[in-house]
Amino acid sequence: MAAAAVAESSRGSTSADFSGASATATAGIVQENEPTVTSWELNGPAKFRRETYRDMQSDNLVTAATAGTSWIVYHILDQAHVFFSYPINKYVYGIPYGSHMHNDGDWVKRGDDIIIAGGEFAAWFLPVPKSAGFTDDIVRGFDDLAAGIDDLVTLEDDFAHLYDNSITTNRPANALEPKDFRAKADEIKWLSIENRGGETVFEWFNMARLRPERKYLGSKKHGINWTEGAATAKSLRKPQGQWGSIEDLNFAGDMAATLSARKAAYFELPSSHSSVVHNIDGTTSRATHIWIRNNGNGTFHGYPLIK
Amino acid sequence: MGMELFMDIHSLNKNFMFSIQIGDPVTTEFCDPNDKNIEEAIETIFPLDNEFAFIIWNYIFIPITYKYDVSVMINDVLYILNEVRSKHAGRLEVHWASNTFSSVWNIKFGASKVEIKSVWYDTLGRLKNLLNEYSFIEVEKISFIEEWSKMLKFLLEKLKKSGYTVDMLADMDNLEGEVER
Repeated sequence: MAAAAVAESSRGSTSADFSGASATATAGIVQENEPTVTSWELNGPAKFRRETYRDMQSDNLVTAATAGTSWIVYHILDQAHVFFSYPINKYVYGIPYGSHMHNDGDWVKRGDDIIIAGGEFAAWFLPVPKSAGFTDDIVRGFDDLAAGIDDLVTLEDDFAHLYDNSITTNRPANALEPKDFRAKADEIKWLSIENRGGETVFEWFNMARLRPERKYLGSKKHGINWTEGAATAKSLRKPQGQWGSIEDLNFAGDMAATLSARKAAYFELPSSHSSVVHNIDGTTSRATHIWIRNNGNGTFHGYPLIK
Repeated sequence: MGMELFMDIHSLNKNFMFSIQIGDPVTTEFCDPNDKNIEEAIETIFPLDNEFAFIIWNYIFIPITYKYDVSVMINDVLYILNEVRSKHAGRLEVHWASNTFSSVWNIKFGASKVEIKSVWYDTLGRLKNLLNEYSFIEVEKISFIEEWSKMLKFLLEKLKKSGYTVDMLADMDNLEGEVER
């Protein structure tokens, strides 16, 4: 696993560990096709402590020391590289999209939001739902992070090399052949959260699902049994979302668990959802997203919407 | 010139203003025994068809409904006031949770001043662009607290008049405590 080769001794870190923001440090570590990292999040080790991880080659859960892990969320733009860094052991490493596999068997592709988790002996890749909840201070934190890296090791992003040394066995049956998958990276199907073979983000992160505010289970605003949604939309001239089922609220609770306390974000709903939006003209539409806020007390606030 | 522009960015809008206007909305005076917190109770006691309250931000009147905005905002207001009152200085980031008062306030407060840098996503009416154009305010801390306190006192009166008690609503004592300060 190529990623494991560079993750020798990452230790826990938070954005508070870094100071002296500088964008130039980021520019100094990249060559051409520099990705523009527009969104990311760095959290401390408390959020990610597992004793096992899924080996990308064997697809087996492997016991690993994960004490002091850190994780970073990058949004991969339309470039051939994604960079991930281990701020403590000072490695920066580039990989082409399409060359590494998510833990769910899909491949990293353009536009993916992925989590790159660095443990003591391994690093791995997890897809996360699209969201717009990344905040400016997190972006600034990336600059801080980059400024703290003073002994960079940038590995050549040789595509064949990475392929040969990372994923050569036990690839999924539907995986593309190496000669094809760079060209077809854009065509690789995004596996949505509900299709990940029972694995969910919150399980990977050992997070507890947040509870919905109790009103969503009843007839209050946005609640499953809310009867005033259409009238409210018409009266206020604003579309009003309404939760469709307990399953949708459970999904929202899983997503809310990925947010820091009092932070909010948008998430795309899974295809099986039943939440709706009442339009101002009296019609009802199928929601596409949810806005969720981690209330910081074990519950979340949120509502469906069309985005 | 660039530096001058940068340094003077706030002097273009020194006329900061923050106020809350409460009218005389009707209430249902209905007390739902199933309500367990003040957010639910406030939604119960105000009907949808009602007059608006207004948050006045740099002289921009932002309508909010008692039933569906104030109810959702109440716990964040209590949180903000508790922080601002109890600490000498600090910073807060508030993601307002109502879909019709959708904004993020980055609040910085000291011993006597409250500064808010805001980003607005949606409100009733079409005020987003205007609010984002005048997104910063700096007000006296005591004034900021008093404006919200008017609203809290009003809500507590209406809840009690409708029959709600501290025993019924888990967080009503927080509201009472804030009003009595």
